[in-house]
Amino acid sequence: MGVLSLCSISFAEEVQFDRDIQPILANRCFKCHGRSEVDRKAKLRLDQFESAKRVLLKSATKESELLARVKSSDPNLRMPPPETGPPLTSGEIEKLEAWIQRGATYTQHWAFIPPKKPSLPEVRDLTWSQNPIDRFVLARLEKKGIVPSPPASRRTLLRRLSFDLRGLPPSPEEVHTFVQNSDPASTQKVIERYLNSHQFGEKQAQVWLDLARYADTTGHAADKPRSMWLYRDWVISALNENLPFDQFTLQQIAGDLLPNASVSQKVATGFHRNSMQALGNNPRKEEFRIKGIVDRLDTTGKTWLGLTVSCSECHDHKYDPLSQEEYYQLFAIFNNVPHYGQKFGVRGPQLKVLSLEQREEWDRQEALIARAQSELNSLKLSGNSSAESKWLEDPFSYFESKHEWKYRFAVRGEGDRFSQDTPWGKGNSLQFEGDPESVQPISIKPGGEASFTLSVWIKTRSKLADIVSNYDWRGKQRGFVLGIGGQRDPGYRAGHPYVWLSATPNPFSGIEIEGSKRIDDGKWHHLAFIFEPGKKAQLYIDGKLDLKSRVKGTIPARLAQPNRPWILGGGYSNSPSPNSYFLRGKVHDLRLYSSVIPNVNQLGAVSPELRRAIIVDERERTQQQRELLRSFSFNLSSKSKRLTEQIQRAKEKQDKLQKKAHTAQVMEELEEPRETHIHVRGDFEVKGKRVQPGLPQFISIPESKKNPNRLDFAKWLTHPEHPLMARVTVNRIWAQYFGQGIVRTLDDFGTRGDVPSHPKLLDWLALELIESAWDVKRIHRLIVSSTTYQQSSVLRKDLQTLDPDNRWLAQFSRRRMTAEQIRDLALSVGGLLSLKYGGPSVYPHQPQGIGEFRDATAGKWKMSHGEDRYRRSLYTFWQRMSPYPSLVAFDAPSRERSCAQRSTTNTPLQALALLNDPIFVEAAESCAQRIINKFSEPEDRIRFAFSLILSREPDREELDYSLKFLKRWSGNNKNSSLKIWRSLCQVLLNLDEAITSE
Amino acid sequence: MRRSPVNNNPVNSSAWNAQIQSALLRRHFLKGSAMGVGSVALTSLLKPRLFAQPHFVPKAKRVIYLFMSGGPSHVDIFDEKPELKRLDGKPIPESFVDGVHFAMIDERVKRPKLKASPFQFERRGKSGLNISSLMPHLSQVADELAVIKGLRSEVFNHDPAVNLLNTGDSRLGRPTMGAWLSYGLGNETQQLPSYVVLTSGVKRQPLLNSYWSNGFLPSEHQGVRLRNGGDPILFLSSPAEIQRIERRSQIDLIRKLNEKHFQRTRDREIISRIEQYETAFHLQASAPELVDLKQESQATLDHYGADPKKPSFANNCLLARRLAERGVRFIQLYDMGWDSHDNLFQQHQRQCKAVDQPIAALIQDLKQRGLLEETLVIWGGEFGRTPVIQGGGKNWGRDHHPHGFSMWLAGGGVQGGITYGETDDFGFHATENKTSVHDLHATVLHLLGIDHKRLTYRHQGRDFRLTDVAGEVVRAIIG
Repeated sequence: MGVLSLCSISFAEEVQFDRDIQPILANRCFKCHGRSEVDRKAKLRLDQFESAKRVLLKSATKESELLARVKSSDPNLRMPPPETGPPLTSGEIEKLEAWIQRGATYTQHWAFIPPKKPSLPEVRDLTWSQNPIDRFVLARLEKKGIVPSPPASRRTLLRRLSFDLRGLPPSPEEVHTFVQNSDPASTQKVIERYLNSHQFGEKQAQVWLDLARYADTTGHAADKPRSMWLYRDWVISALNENLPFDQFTLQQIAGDLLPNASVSQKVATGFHRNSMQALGNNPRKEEFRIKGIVDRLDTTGKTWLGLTVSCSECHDHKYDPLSQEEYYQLFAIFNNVPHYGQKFGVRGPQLKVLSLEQREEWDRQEALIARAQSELNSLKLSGNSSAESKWLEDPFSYFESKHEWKYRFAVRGEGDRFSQDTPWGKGNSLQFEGDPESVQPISIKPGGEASFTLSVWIKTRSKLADIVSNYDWRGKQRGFVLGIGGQRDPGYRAGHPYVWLSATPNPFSGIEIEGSKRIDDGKWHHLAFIFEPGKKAQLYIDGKLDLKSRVKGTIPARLAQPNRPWILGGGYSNSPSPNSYFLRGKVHDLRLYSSVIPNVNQLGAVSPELRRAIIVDERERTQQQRELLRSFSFNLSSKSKRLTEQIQRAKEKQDKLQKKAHTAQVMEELEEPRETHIHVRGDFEVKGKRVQPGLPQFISIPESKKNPNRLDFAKWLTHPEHPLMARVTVNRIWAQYFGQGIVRTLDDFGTRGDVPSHPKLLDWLALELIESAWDVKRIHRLIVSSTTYQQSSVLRKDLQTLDPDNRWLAQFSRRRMTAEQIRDLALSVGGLLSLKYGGPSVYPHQPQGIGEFRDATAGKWKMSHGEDRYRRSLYTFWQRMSPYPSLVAFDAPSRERSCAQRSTTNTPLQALALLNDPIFVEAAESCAQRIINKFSEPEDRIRFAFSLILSREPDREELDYSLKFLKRWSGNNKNSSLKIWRSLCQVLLNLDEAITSE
Repeated sequence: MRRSPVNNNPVNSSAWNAQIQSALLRRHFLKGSAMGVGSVALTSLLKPRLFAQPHFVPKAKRVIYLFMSGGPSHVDIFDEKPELKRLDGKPIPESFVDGVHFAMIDERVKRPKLKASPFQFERRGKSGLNISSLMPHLSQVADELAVIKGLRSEVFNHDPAVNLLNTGDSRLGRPTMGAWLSYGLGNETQQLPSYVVLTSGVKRQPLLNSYWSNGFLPSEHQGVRLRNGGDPILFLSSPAEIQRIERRSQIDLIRKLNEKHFQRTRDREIISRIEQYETAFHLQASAPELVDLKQESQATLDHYGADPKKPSFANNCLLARRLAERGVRFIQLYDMGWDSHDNLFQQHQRQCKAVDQPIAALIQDLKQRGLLEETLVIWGGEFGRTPVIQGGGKNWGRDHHPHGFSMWLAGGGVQGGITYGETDDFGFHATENKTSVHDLHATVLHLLGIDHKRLTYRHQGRDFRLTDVAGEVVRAIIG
């Protein structure tokens, strides 16, 4: 076991419970003698003094029972028992002995106590340190008698900084300038330049996106594409803008719950919408909703708490103080996200978000609207009484005067069917009885290339009826119909208004529109329809353009003229006379105009209040009613009409933009929280005790709220006194640069996690982050500016025995680059790399047949064109069940689950990918072309290739090797010098040095 | 892939050569011990424990796992049920379906109807193993099979059920059996990956990369899928213009430059990379040779029913034998198309016809070459199929059925010609000697010389096992 051998202590040092004893107990004893009641043996608990003292302390008559047991050679007595594990080592036993001798004091696990700012340790060598990090590192090295390494060469340092900060190689020119100028200020300048480049956020995002299990598909068998990239872009720009880490956290966990949450803050909540979602004909929806929450807790634990919270899904945590009940209290906090849809359509909340260009266009329209609106407001103040009085005389004459033909179905007459039940309270309406007798002929016949506008008031409970029609599909005499329920055609809903309009009597060729609202509620509704051949077919319901109508087909260039008369109150079915879909209900004021009346909607826009204001006797009008009338009539004045139309048009443009907007997956909170129960043994169907939202007890934060929601949870996490979050965060940043964390288990700071190598440095960095108002770039800057980071990586013989794991940092560790860096390196030296920033994920070339057995719903790899083939690797479409093969070869995770640290392997499949993947071959060829174009002398070309790919010059021997290689193959292959140079570039690109950050 | 670090192409004798050799030896030594390799760049704390030796003397050295993706019907192949015949068409008694979820059968049908198998069962071989007419060739090797009839799980959807069979957990993210074996036992060959996957059949259910995932184990333990078209291994072929001799000289130059850099940095990862390039170079030759079935005699091809020109399960069985011969640790064959919700009669005949002869040939061929006793062959799907009918008429089918189903093991120390466990009179629930997936895994590991409780990997503070917290070795089937 690495942990203990590394921190074997000299007994001159005090035995520390958390550093020395806790790991032994946690690893070797707690499984049966820990917190978990279910697993507890012999009713013995060793995780707290009170319950453990009977076996720890010696009595007058007896030695410490615990010591006796761990020392025993009798297999029946020995602890841990042989089937549970090997005996404790003598070192472990010595530690326990020393601890028990000193009274067996328990202290809280170090990571659960808030960090305290340590003073900087004294060091003998005062010249070495560039910043406080170095003091901590050097103090430890001096104590151990280890000498640090000399600084890395300038070119190695620049290459290291360039890859670590922006994930790309430095250009030969950059290297040249940097090597010439050895002034330390120039190093600082380069660091600032890299920290402020767009590429910084792109590089850092990879680490965060692994944690966030970011992917472009839903995972599981269906693995359907899901628009997530807006979240990815949010992460990149948040990192580039150096969003303070508390905000970075708050927005991702609970951006939607922030007061007046912005679109960007909502997009940030995509973090937890990256959970996989099972889709299909039979996964149990609730089961997978629950799995999503379990995943969110697991991810939150790994990312911010450094805790293995998932252990408590089925039982109390065996090692850390998190009970199952507390787990479900956290669960309750995340249990209130809406979950929509069925089968392949199951999903969480979504948000439409505009792209940058769309946003600009939107803002232009918004400005237009604001200008027009303010002009309107000033008009209103000046008043316009003539328009008002004119309008009041006859509300409708205002629009009608200009139009040539019009038809008005005057409801006049006597008998039972007439009544004064109208939307206006004056005039008449006519009752239709749902029979052929009620049907009324309409004397005009719109049709052909002419525009028309139809307006009618209706009050009905019919779910299925035609209102105005000359449409007979059975008789192959199609034309126009406005009705309710779509003649029960498949897909049509009862009670919804609909329009069919065909250019030819047979077959159908035109447009079908179904309104989004029901009108069969027995109240007055206004319907209007505008037809402008080839341009406009709009249904208005109650004065509003019905934007949510379902539309099928296209707007025809003409309206058919079948041999069926226009009628009111019924429809046709294979006969020249009305014989079907009869209307039962009242009709008032049907009008038909021979043109487009842009304001026809206002006929129906009249609200019930306004209607009352119109019909009441002038003398009885209240002040409020007069205001209402005034503002309505004002809207009809010509100037105001023009402005209103302008606004209308701008809004229509905005609507169109909105329709084209991209979808983001976001978190939302249900108004009524769901009930949460403990799931017994983690089984979602077996509900135990009901629990309320709550926060773990073992971390005490002042001012924590009762009944917390996600926002309260995020505030709890980011509270300056939280013992874990800042430590976990700086430790992860540290690991990016040194290959391992100060705590090597990046996602486990619990009692079974690693013991920190430099606990005070960890606390100092954590407090530096908190006290700098969560300035993340500050931590990056501190690390890369340190002497510790800038040491040489040449392996030292003495260290191979003194510190083979490089825990004490007397040198820098060489690290193989990540998958993304390797591919970006190749594209970059080939001069192919596009630095386009953000946007939808791209589909670069991959071999045929990748993912050939994925589900049909999963969609095809639609190869990108142009520069999108050469984008930075992090923009590659991330297909969970069949990830991009050359990234997988170099240990990119599939991102099914959160990943705090990738494995780094060294396999022949990597060699095959780097030698043969067409993208790497293309990059080598393109690199060869650059070299040939720039120099003609072979030696110059070789030098340039080395400086492009390895950021350095070759030495004589390397030059000779390369020349020999070229000579051998140019003899065989005279015609294609490009291919020979490509071969050499391939060789260089395949070197360990090329793909390793040194 | 893990290989023992024998250098096939000794570098020129130089002072550095000696140092490289000694680095190799040291690397070998470290890998053989329980300590992690001390390479600074790697997360050595998390580095796997490696087993230079299994826990005890293994019966089997390798596994060929024939995975019938979609779920073959146990009541139509191995588990004959006379009661099903007697009560054909009657609703199943309520006690059987109480609390049972079906995947596709309409939930409103409270008691679906029993459906007798239309296939004839017969006693086969000396052992008298009961196998239906769907598998006539397999019947010839009946005396080699140990049929487990009482398998059960609760997972009734494909994807989670495949995960369960592969990883011991229905959720995604755990390592598969092949990855565990690669991690635990390493590889016998330097030339091929330790974990190879082959695919065939009629696509109905998707096959996902997660089915051969390394989970949280280091990614070198991931299964490598041999592809049916193009390069058998992804990125195997050199670019068209690069001849093998030029590739050799590229690899040589890479090695020379890497060696120089090793002198500068003294990082042993560079030596490891040199080895990997050698292996890759050999793989470029050996993999096409491996998949070239034309090297087999016509008699052998006929025996399997294989045709080098057309990808098939038969070809894959022959390939499996070739992989076994070359020392690959875990070979998994996925055959798609078993999900017979409708048209079971035709579909199962089609599926069985495609696998029956090749499987029998594989067992006979392994046996004849003396490989069967050290090669464990596993056959089964992610679940069985319901003894009750789904749909009706001529197109009737059966739904997913995890509550009791059959699998078989052969070779590798398994006792042949026996059955273990039983289902009830209808083949619905496992009743006698119920076997969980964890039990199956424990048994497989046992046959390979591994104590399933001791093959662990520390991840997120917990020691994970293939068998999670359960698993009993089924000793009754071990010969």
